[in-house]
Amino acid sequence: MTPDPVKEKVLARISAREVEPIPCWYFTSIEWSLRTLWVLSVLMGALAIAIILYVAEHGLFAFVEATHSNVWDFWFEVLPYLWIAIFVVMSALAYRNFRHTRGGYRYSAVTVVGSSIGLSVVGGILLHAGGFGAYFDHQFAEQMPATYPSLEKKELSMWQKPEDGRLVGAYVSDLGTTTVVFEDIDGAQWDVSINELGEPDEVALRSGDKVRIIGFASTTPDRQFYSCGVFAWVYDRALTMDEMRVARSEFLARMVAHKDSDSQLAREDENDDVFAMRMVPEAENTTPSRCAKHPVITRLEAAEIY
Amino acid sequence: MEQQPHEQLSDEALVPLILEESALFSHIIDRYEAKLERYITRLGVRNREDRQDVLQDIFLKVYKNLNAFNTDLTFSSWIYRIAHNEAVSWYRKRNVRPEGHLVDEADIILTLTPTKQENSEVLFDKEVSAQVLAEALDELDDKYRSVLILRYFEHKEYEEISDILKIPPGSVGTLIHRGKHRLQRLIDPDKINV
Repeated sequence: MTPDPVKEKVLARISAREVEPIPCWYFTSIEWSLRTLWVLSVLMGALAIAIILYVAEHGLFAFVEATHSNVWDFWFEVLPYLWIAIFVVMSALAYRNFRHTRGGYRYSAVTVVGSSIGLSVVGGILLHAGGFGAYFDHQFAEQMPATYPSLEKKELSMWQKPEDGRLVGAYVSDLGTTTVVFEDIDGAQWDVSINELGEPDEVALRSGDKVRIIGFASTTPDRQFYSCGVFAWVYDRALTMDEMRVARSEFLARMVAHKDSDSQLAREDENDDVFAMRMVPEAENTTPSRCAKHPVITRLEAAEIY
Repeated sequence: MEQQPHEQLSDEALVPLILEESALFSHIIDRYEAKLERYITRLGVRNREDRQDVLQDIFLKVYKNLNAFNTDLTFSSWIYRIAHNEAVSWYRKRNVRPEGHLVDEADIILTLTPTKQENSEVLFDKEVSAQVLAEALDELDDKYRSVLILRYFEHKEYEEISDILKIPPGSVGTLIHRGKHRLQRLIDPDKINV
């Protein structure tokens, strides 16, 4: 019989116990680790979808006309890029982890990626429906206040802009019959004129809750603010779509009401200069509406929203 | 109860016995050494001494990983998978392009040429030399080369190829089809009918 060097060497090493079979638990633990990692990737993907849906839903009913001149700029600023990136990475990891499981190679890439993404999307929809999109967005913001770009943080940066006629803060006290003291989130106190506010605006303002104010800030350093609308701050809690829809309808109605309040003057005075002091016969209100010229009204007109 | 002699047991039945009695691993070596030697030669491990080293590594790896074998696939596909990975690892370590000894297998090589049923634009017929085809096969991307060797030289079924290369079964047919067409494009028209 011809010698078989390969067989002799292999059996010699085995019998000398230079090589031992790797124990079963090692392979079992690898398999279960890969499956667990796949599940975790899908769950993280679901969390990302939940937060993306939370942001997107708020965006649909946001007061875009108050903060941006066009809707694309708004979405560019508010999109949750971090979570979109996390979703993409988790989908890739889910694919990789699944493909390395024992039988994972038998499924096409389309099937694996599609199922992983599909499960993440379904999971994300369920999480969002349970309010977990908002919950986790707030939790991450509380745990990482300096770095995490929560929806509330982004909205605060869009709304707290006195130079653009927007404040976020709370009512402090009255200062006369048509002026109140308002403290914004930066700690600055403003004398806010409430001359053109309707009853819902005043109710919201005097509640003492955190609110957003649209109006005009003075260009002088005396912190005078002329308010045109007051709206609840909604980014610290989960709202239903109906609640958001109602809030947006109220925003539109209250802002449009300023234009309508100026219409009497517009019909009787062909001159568009509403800041000119002129006597208009039979007009009850000789003080022109300043809010009727607010940029929000202009944007609403341009969008033909009312 | 009369026990079946070990030689008559299937590979799958032998595995648990080998884990208890390591000497029985010699049966696996006897059954697969020649086949795997031909296979790794076709993959590009040309030198005899290198082949013996690679074969040794293959069988030691098989023995070490016996607990990883499960009956979701055949033992043959599993051992071929290890052999494939060791051969690829061998020529990657040496940073060489695999060049298989395929010229001597002219009849098999010529079955790689697409027939008129497969491709209406037949660029060549069976007068194309096996040498030309073997050289073209060596130039193919590894993913096409591997499936063509397993299909036409090792006579593996699509499901076995899927298990050996760890690719979806649906991809095997696609890779074979594309591999044959790439092969066709690689063949220098000047060498046709030589």
